[in-house]
Amino acid sequence: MSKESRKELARLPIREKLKLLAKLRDRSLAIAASRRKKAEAKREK
Amino acid sequence: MKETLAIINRMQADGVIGSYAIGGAVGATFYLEPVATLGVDVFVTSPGESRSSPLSLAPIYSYLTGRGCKVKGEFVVIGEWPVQFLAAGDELEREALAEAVEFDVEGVWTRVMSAEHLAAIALKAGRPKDFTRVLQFLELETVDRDKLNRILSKHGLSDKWDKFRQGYLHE
Repeated sequence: MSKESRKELARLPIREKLKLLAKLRDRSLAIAASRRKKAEAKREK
Repeated sequence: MKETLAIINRMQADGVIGSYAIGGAVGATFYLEPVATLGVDVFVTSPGESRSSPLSLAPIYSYLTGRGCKVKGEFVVIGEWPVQFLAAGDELEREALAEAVEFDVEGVWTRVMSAEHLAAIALKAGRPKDFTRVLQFLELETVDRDKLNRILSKHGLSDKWDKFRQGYLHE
């Protein structure tokens, strides 16, 4: 992402930024859950 | 987020925590573009705490679970957000709490660490993701460099700052 695009994102109203942050959080939580499942499956083998 | 912040404010009003300020990636989002995170880092002090009294998370967990919140690992899920409560353990974090900035989030007031304190704490933590955050603050010019320099000098981080500048900014 370019510096200008990031600056634009940084200038968004906090309400909009928090909506984007919530999407990123959901993605991060899904990745963490998937990693946990894989680790558990590996341990069970 | 509005609901999460309202509950944290209520928890403070009910005397479960002393002062608080949002730090970490969510704190940084008030100044920068949003970055991936698992939850909200809330730095807190105990109510009426002395320096010798370490923060006990038990009253916080008890208060929140009594209101239906679930504990997941190191987080308590408040509203839609996993929240991690962290003790403001050193002088830098205590100063960050004392000088936190108030923001209105959809009608709910909250306290967020200043951009300069967030950058200083990230520099002190020193993980790759923390250095990335410091770079973001500098690149988007959201920190007052004089204020940042004062904070870094006061908290003994000038050497670390010089190394960071040499390594990442080629200054």
